[in-house]
Amino acid sequence: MRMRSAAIVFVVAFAIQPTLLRCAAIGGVTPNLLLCLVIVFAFLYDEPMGLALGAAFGLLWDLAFGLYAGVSGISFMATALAMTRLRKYLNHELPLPAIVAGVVGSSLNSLVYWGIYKLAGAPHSLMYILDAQPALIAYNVVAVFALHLALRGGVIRHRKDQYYKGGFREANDLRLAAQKIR
Amino acid sequence: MRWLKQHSRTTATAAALAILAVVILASYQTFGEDNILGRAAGRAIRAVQTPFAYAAAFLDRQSAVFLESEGLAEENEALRERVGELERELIEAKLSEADLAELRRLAETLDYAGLDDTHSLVTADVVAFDGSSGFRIFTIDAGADRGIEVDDVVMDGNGLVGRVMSVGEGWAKVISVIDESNKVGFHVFRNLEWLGVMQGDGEGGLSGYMLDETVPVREGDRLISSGIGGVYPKGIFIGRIVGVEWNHDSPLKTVSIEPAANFKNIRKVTVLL
Repeated sequence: MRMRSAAIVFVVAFAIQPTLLRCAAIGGVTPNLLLCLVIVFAFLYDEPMGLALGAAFGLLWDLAFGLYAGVSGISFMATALAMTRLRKYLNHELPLPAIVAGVVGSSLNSLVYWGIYKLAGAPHSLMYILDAQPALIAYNVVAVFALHLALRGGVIRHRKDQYYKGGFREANDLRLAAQKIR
Repeated sequence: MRWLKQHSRTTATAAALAILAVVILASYQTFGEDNILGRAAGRAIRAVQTPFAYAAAFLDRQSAVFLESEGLAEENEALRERVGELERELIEAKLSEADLAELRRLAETLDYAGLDDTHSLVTADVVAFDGSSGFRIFTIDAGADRGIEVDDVVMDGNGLVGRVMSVGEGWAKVISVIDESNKVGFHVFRNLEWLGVMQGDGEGGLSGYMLDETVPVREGDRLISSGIGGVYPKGIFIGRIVGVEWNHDSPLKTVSIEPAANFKNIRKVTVLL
């Protein structure tokens, strides 16, 4: 996916996160769509789209909803960097690693976000933040899983990979074709 | 220099992190106060989000129609507003002349500028709310064009919600009272001579202590703002006491307070100008 297309996806997520997504809130909790996009883009693609767009849209998010500007930007960047690291150890095209990425990314983002606010004197305790985590992580993982399913078909060929011919579906087709020949 | 060129991605990431850290520090220094950049971003963001906000409001109304008949939903809303009005009337009635005279003396001592007849109310819808973090900061569809200013008090039909944090044309950003570490003075409604101080407890609620540890406060006691401190005027319903404890270390009588406002599902608010 090109940076421009990715930016459009982020803009749409930014617009629906605090508005339409409120209709899907369970117990006052909604998935963090921007975070889910950061996780999926950083985990799925080699290009630093998740990192760059996460920093930019995190900053915008804070200007719109945060107490201090820049906190979401840093927490999104930390999450994207962790996902970039994680994709070296996990197969980023399979659904199960995507779920693992969702859990790790969501937890890490919450910890970094809370940690910065705590340093700035916010009254929230770690227990209060952890209390809301199971529901939030579950919701985020569902969103990450759905986004991963939708986007993994568009994985681009790695420049240095002479065997890799396209996305997950194409690779699967090639595998099936090879089985038929055998 | 060559290293920087060779590691351009690492350099760009480090530079972005450093810039964001500086932004946080600058924002912290001004305690998130509004600035030109914030207002410009606010206008642009609101322009993008407005159609989606209306779509969300439409879906809300449709779901209400689906779950219960439209008439019932409207009646429920009207009743809720009426209950809020009656609560405020009850509080005003309770604040007798003698109590007010005493409060005025106290207020003068503490250099407090309280409510007077020049205050008015503006009703607004919550158009954007982030439910993905523990913080309860939201945006309403009324702003400077309707006379709203920074630090104006925000209430819903149940009681105190918080204060306006930043404001622009057609929008205002509100921070809830449970997210702030500022101290707020309160009266116990059962006996207005009983005073206390409270703040966000970091657990999504409020906690505080009584100035006189001998007063017999109990669970269920209703609390109203005392006006001491300046931000929140007197007479706004804050919540109910859900726990009373004697703190041997302080020694203070501490109280746990359940806020009156339902912060997880705020749809409509009133701003006190």
